Amino acid sequence: MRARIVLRLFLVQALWNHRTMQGPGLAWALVPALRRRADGNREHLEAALRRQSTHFNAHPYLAGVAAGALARLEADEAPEEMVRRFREILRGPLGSLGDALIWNAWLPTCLLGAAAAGMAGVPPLLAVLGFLLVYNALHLGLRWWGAGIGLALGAQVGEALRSHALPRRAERVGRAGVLLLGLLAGLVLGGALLPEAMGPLDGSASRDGEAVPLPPAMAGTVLAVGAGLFVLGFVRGRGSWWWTAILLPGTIALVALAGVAA
Amino acid sequence: MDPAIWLVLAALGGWAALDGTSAGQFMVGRPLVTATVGGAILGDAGAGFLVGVALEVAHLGAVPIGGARIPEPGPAAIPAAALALGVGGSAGVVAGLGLGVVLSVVGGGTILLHRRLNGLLVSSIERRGMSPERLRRGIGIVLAADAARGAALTAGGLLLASALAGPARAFWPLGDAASTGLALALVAYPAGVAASGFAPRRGRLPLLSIGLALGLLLALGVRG
Repeated sequence: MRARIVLRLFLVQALWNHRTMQGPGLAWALVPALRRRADGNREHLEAALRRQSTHFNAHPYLAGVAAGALARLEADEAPEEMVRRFREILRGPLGSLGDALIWNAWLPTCLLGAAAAGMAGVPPLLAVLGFLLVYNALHLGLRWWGAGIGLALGAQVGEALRSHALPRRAERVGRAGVLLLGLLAGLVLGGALLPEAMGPLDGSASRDGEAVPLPPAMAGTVLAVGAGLFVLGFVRGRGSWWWTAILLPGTIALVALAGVAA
Repeated sequence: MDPAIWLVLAALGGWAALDGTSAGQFMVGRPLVTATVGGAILGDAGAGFLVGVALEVAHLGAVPIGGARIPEPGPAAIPAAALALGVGGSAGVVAGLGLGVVLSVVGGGTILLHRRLNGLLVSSIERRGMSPERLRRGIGIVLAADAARGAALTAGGLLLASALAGPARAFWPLGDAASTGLALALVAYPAGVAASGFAPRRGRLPLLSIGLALGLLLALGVRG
């Protein structure tokens, strides 16, 4: 049952829409469990599908927690109202936990690790393959683990989620991501300022195939403008339309002028 | 461009679109992956990788939280890599970054249309009666539509890249050094935004500084 639910959950976002969000996808994942409960009764099966296809949203890798727990509740013939309330209670935490752990920590950290590896000399395709293998090790592990604890614990699954301290792990991963961002910035700046440090990406800096150093005036301008923009983004913490409208042309003009002056 | 390669790249874009939204989420649709693989198919994985890194840094903060409208950089990164190779050097990376950002916004808009299609399909299934067979058919339809959407976006982007490569190469106003500088400056703001979201406030700056120092040492050490 666990394997069938996990396989179907790879399509949990297939029918995503603004009204029911992952609801229909979740119902699809629960079909094996609902068939078992319906025991051949077509009307019961369709009623259960209607019940499980209503509005629901969670991080796709943690939707298995909900699917497993709901499959368990259906198998235990829990009252409809209990199933409905359980779905509502679970979707918020599964969304925010997954966002904090995966989208805001694990994904950017893995991407930055691959980018830094490539800039440091690892062949690009190997760096990309490494990213996919490392990233998906946690991805697939989470899907399998989530469905497992959901099926095992049913309505008590919330306690298990709290005991695994996922937010603290997300923070640690996020710190590694910040370190890797700095590492990538250092590798890129080092490569731009000292072309002999470019590694196997030598020649990409110039159309003639020769690595081109940044002249001092250009290097100074880029460092100043880049650092200023980085700090602005860091402090502000979000993108905005005025970045596009004002800063972008301004940046282009400043760097172009520095290029002309150099 | 050889039609067979064009088809392979369009198929890669279709797969990237599927993986990003409808099926799997294995992150094969990230711009780092699609630009590098696209660049390898076109003959230069390194140039594709550079464009992919630039697009990733520019989109690190764009995460699919809830129903948020976000750009779609995965399929867009393939024409971006093609343009980068067509122009060459740092100028190519800047040109590719620009095209990639524009196409990713277009891609994000097409995702909204796709979600509306999903909504209509789900409403139709609900009206006719929720059953495993109707769900399966509905999923098949949306998967095909999403793959076609991504492939069309990529194919259109490749046509645009082919058209732009010649004029960009001939009339690029900046030298190689200035282009490198511009590429660095353009990704600095999104990199700052992304860094602000990673870890708790306390300790972020020291970690960033340590990473920066290590990166500079490593850059010198690789060839130094």
